[in-house]
Amino acid sequence: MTLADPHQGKLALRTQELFDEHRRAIFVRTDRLFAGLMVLQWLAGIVAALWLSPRTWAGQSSTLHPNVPASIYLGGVIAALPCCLAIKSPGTRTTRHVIAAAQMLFSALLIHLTGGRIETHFHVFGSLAFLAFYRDWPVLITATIVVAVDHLLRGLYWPQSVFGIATASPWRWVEHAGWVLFEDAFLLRACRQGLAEMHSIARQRAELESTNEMVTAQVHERTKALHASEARARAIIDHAADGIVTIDEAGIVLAFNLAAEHMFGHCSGDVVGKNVSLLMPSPQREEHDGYLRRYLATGEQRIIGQCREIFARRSDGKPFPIELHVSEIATEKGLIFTGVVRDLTERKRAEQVAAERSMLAQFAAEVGVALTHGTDLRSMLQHSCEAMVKHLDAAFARIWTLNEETNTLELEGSAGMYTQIDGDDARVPVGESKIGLIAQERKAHLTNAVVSDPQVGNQEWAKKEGMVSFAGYPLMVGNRVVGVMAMFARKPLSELVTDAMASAGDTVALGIERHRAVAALRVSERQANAANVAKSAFLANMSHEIRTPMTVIIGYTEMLAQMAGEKQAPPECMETLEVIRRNGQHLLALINDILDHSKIEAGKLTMSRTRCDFDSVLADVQSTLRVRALEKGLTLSTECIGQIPRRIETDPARLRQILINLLGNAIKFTEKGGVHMTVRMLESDGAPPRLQLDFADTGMGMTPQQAARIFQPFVQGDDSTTRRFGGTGLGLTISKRLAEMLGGDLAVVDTKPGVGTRFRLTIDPGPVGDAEMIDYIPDAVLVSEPAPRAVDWKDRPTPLRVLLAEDGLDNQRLIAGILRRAGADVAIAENGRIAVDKALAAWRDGRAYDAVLMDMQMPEMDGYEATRCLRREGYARPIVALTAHAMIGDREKSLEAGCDDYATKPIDRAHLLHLIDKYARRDAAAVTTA
Amino acid sequence: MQRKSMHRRIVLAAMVIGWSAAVALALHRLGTYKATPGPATMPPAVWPSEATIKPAGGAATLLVFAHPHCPCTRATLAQLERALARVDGGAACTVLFIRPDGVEPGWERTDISEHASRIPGVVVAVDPEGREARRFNAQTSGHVLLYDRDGRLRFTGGITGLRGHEGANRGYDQLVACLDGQLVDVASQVVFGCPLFDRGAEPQLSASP
Repeated sequence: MTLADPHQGKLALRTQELFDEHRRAIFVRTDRLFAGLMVLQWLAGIVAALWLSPRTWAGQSSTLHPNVPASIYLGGVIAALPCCLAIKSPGTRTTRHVIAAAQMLFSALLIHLTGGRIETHFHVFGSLAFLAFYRDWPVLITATIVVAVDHLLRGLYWPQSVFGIATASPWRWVEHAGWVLFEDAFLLRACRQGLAEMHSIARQRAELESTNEMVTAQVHERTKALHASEARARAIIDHAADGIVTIDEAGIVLAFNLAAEHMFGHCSGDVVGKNVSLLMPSPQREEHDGYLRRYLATGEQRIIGQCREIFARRSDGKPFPIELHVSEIATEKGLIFTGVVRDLTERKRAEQVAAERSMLAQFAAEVGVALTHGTDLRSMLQHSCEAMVKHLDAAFARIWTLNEETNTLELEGSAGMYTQIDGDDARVPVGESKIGLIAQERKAHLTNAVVSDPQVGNQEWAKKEGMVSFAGYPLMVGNRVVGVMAMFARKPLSELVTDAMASAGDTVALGIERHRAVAALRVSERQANAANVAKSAFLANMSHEIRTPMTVIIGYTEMLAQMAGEKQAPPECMETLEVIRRNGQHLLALINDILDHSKIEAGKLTMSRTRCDFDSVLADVQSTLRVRALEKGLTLSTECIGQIPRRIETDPARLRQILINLLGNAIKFTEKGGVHMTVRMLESDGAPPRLQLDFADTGMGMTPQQAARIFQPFVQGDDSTTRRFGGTGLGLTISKRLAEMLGGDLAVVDTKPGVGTRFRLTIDPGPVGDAEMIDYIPDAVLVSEPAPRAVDWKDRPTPLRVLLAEDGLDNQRLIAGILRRAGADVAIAENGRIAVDKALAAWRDGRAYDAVLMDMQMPEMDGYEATRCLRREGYARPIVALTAHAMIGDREKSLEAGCDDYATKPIDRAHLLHLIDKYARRDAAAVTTA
Repeated sequence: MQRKSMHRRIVLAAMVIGWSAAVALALHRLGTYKATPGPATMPPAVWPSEATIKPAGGAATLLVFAHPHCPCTRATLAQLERALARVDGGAACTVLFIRPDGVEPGWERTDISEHASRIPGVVVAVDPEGREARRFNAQTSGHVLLYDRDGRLRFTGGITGLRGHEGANRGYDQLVACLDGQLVDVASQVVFGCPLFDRGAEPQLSASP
């Protein structure tokens, strides 16, 4: 044990306490044993004396034998003190030592009375053994001393009384004492062993007690915790927001928490111990016990484990809605059922309000839908009335609109029990009857007591029909009355309903106003559309009307120039003709650009993406502009960097337009040097492929400010540029927008005044995964090339026969003149119908025209229809469209109609002849092959 | 508290001392009683002729006077039986139980007389009114007399060391020696036992041992 171990110290102390207690108990017990034994020995001595020597004799007389009084007196004396101490002071040292001495005296007495019989000495040994019960060795010493002294004294004086013989040695007592000590030695050992065992028992008991204490402490702690837990649970139950009611198998209420008290209006004491049915309204009240019995008997569940909404009964007898969840718990005393009760009164009320609000919302929505989707005012208002009947539970509902001209309310909608709109109330002057008064006073009239309200018309009728409430609202927009809305109902109208009606009234008023505004708007729209149509027609006509004379002017100018050249006219005359032609061309380009730009701005320009030969587009553009470059002594070169797809998906016409614009510009603004075009394919991971085309010239270049404005409409490098080079200033704007529409962009990447400019065009080539790749551009580099061969059919064995369908006389003359000068035999058709007839007739006679030039805008039957008609008839010979519609998309429109190709007015003489020659040759080759 | 305890101790010590004294006194009285012999008498040195009982011819005669109701005599008989066993056939032994005058018939027949009659070689006789005892001057129960074949007294006295106490003692030893013929002189011892005669009716002491 150490001080640091208080538990062990406490255990040792307790062990000693228990040991001492045990010893004391043994002492007391043994004291009492000996007390009894003393008395027994005393009585036994008396009995023995009476039995063996009751009397002593002298002759024939006898007296009580001295042994008898000796046994009574001496035995009594010997037993008296130890018995007294054993009773009065048991467990003390004195007592047990007196007992030890007394017991040895009894032995001495016995030995003495038996005349020292050696057998009686065993009483000594037996007594010592009994005294060893004390497990207190000093007691044995006392006993031993008494024995020794007795033996010593009696051995000296009456040896026969102790040793049985009168001739014993004076030291005989030593032998006897030795035997006693011999026994003492064993008894001493037994005592020590007994004490050790007692100590061990005490130790075990102390440990047991300690364990018990710990267990008790733990039990105490747990019990406290349990009590605390129970208290918490009780508090939770008592303060739960829900009512908690516990019943037993007989339906008797066992517990009733505070929330339940508040909910049911019963005190716990009034309910606990009574049948739970007192909390239920009929018929559950009568059925509950039966249900409970049935459940206990059959296990049939209706409520257990389920959440149900039922009615409960308050202390005042009123039912109220609750949500009940019952669970069962098996206990030693049987099943108990716990019901968690939630008062649904507020929730039901809220649900009712919510339902009413929902209904009103539906009403408002339906009115809104009726007002926004209705095709005409009457159907809109009729649907609104129907919504009032349906959602506001109106007996009937009506809406009048105000005719401001007549100051009369006109019935436009009526639903419910009266649906006619042409009865007595169809027209109500403002200020008359309740409806007219509402409009006049601009004030709603609401009542939930129709039969007692004198303002509400026919009270007899109201009574008869069971009308209870009326609500009439002026339909106001700002301060202006536009109508009246009213309804009758057979039940009182709540504030919510009247509010909803008022709100709906505003909506209906706005609806009426909106409808009137829409009607006005439609009129304006119709007018605007008409203006638009007129504008479109004007533009189309303008296009046609300007182009047609321009065609004639330019055509005849070219013809004059050709004739002047042939007749070697003076140079002033030639220059004049050239000025006329150039200005004509400029005017035409201006018109084309303006038309294209207006279409782009209007968003009416559409892309037509198809798979096309990219290399052909490039080659075509080169060949188109090559002459112009050569005329200025410039180089026009192209270069392919890396591989590019031969075919791409794009709108080839728009691409061509962009390329011609860019290359044309480059050539136009370059005085010396050349124009170089590079093409490359841009491919990077994760990004779609792009075709990049750079156009670098050695022209005049631009300042950064000029470059920044270059793509704005009607802007060129500077004003002098326009004066010097002409142009509309729309070409780059259109090209940039077209590039964007082709999935790319157009930008100036490098420019320097006096050095040159580099434009960069990117477009989306579409999917090119499996496209054929090329690393060159056909005819990419053509520094010089002979001028194209002039078309001339004069050497043909048979003249080339061309049918010209053209309604304008000037154009007829011009085009026919051009063709005839080239050696063609020209027939004229004034409109599409004639053209179809002539073409078909010639074709059927086996003298088909080598080509038909079809103007697309003609009276009676236009060129599109005529072409479609010919193709329908199986006419397969070449038809070349000829139109003043130079706007983008016209080419595709012509080709769709069945034309083989397309030429625009004003006529490019060389181009026109080239086209006709090309198709005539193609057709001739086809015929020959055939 | 301490005073009370001290007082208690003193009382206790006094009680123990008193008790010890009482016990010691009682034991002493008892011991004294046990160690007190009967009156010393001197029997006839030669077999009296007036005696009714006759000596055994040719052998020593051993007479024992006994009271049939004396508890001390049991020890004497036990000692006698032991002595006779040691000296088998050495003497003719007669135990005389006195029968006072006027006692009920059979008064003399007790467990003691029965015991005596069961001792081998012992003749039990009744001594009416103690006449023989008077003749041999015996007054205490357990008085043993040994006369040789010539009728001369060889031993007189008791053969127990204390009243009612068996076991070796001088009287027993002397008797056995006499029976064995080892002693020449007459041996005598005190007798421990009950008086054979009522108080005042004892025979006149004729001689002292």
